[in-house]
Amino acid sequence: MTLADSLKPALHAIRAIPGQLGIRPYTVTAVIRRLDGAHGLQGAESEIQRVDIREAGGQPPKVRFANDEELALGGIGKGSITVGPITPNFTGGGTSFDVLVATAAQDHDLVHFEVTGPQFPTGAKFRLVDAQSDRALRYMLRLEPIGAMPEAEEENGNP
Amino acid sequence: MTTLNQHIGDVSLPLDDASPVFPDPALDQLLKLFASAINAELSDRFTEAAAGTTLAEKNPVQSTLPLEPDPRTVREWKPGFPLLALHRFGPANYEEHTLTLEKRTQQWQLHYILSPGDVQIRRRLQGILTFVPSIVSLVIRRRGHASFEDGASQFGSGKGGLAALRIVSSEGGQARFGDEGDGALYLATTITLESVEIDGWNEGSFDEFEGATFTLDLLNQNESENKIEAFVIGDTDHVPPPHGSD
Repeated sequence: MTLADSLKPALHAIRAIPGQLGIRPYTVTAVIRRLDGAHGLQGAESEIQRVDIREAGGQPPKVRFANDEELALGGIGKGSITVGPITPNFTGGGTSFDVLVATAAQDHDLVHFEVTGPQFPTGAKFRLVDAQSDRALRYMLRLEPIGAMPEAEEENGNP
Repeated sequence: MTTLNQHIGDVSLPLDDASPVFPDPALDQLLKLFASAINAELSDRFTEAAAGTTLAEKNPVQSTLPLEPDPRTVREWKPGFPLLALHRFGPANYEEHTLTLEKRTQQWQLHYILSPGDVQIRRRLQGILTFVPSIVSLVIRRRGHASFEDGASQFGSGKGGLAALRIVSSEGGQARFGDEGDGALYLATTITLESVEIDGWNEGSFDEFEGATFTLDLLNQNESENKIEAFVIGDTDHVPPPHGSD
């Protein structure tokens, strides 16, 4: 066992503390959907995989919106967010990098991240721009917005 | 009637309520046709050439995309390479075809994207970037391919609704499909096509015209009771009497 393996469980727990204190208002979920048409972007849609990105105790990760300098210099779209640090998987917890980069996605699958929080109360779809895995103790994601998800229909037709 | 009951190309109003998307019949038909033709012509050689590369066991056209293959699209939708993508491109020009019919001239871009740049793939498969435009050109000239819909003649009504289609140019090599050059390097060829679509009325949109009789009365404006009835009679079915008869 390496030092990194020893530290991951501790980091997993430490990174959950802000969530426990209620200061991580956004949740992030990785979703893979499949279209069954013979040609691209056609056919009925079905959900293949849905994985919540969480730290210990189911607490959400840190989500930060790109600031003006990053938007101006980084060539990224307005509304882009950075997710992480995300604790890499270890025995008993963490998030696999395969989940973050949708390794399970096959040809023609749709890969999105659903982000829910104060700015997106009904959720918003994001696409992956960059996934950093060059640090042994954390992964970082850069996501850019696609659009708000439609509001779920109320039961019994009540507004 | 609250609809135009007309079509331009195969895009017809009213729309078919059963479809969940706004249709582009020409795009769908062309994409299927070109994918079928390229796979039929190049499958065997592609299998041999791609053996041992990341494209091994793939078809010459592994997936199709009815959109521009920009980075945002491929970040959401995982393509299979080689990818064939087709989309309308640039402005469409509208002009009179006849006094009552209008035509639309439109350019398209057909992208054949082989793979992210792998030197082994480049060595073995780069030549396919020349074959693909040649196949497209021949398929257009022959208006179809034996591998698609049993070789049925394409482009007419119900087959995309194109009055004319021609290949304008092609350009192949290494290309970036990224924002301002920061995307990955791909081996690709882009073929520019130009189509003509003509509008018309949907069959059955008007009752059949059998004939008409026009009768004009001559009326003095100030003497409403003094008029000459049937001063002029026009009849579309009138057959003049033979010459010299009473």
